[in-house]
Amino acid sequence: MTGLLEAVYLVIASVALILAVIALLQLIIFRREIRYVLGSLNSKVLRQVVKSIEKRRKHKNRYLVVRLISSSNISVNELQKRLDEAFIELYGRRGYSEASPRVLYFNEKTSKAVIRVRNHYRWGVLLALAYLERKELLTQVFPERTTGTYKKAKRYAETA
Amino acid sequence: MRFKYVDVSNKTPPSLLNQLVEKASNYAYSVIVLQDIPDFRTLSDVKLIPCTIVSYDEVPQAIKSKSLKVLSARTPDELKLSNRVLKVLNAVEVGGRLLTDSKFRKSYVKLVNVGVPVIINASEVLDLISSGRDLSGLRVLLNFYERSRITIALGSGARNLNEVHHPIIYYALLLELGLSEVKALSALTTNPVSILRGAGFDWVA
Repeated sequence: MTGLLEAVYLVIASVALILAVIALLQLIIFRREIRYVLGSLNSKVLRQVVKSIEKRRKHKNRYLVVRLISSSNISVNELQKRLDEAFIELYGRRGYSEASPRVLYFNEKTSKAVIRVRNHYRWGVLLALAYLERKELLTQVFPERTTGTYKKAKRYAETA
Repeated sequence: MRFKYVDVSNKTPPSLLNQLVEKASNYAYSVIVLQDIPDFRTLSDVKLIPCTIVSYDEVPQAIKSKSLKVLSARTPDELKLSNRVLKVLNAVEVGGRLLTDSKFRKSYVKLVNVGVPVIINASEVLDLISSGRDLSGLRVLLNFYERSRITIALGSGARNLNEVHHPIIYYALLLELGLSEVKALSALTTNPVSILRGAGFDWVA
């Protein structure tokens, strides 16, 4: 009985050894190909892959909560108008239509505004606000938060 | 914990110092490197470090001053990096044609080989963007930085109060120029601190 078990173990070990040798040979044969594949997977390629995936993703909106301090009283419509002008000057009409930034809410007590924008252009809106600050249309701009829902953004805008 | 930032290049006139410090304090800056102040001082928890911006010929005079010594280069001719200059200088401020023309690649390679940190003024970059100028030179420089071959620090370069912005806005600017998030953040935080440490201001952050 023990002799039979030993024979089975021996067969399993020899098969494993043969498989390992075959794998090693395959590795040696395809070494150049493997190295080529690994070499092509550098950061540049990965970044391009990530970019293409991001492009294919659904255009999600982001809600930016920003605290805006101005020397004069400012309304939602006025802020929207200024933001539109600055954004068009920086990114052009095509960029504006893609980003479609909208000032949804402005709380005069906390002086915080909620701006809706497409995900890819969220940094562009901050640059447009900086542009307004440079033109002295706004005194100070504090980017506070970025949220995925309007409800959450409004809650942050209402708290001081 | 509130994160603290460093503005490594500021050119606001000393007459607006109190207002500048107030605004910088609101924007969470802990250190500002200012051009026109004689010595180090602290105002409302903001440390002000003097900076001497020199051209190649003014380097011998800059040796004595206890400040951050920066070589200003706007054209390739002004970018003379001899051993005499490298002994004295802490960083090189790049601007003008070096940001707009990509044909000065050799100048950037020189900067890479020497290993001197580079300061870029955000104010100048924003001016160039709003005037619709090509920023191909800057893109070459940022490409070197992205591959970790050079150290870049972004300063506000503000000549007036309205040119001082929140650090997150500068972060947004760097991301829009094509930098990765890690590199953009380090250009605003760790790189300015390392420049100041190299100049002997170890205690700043």
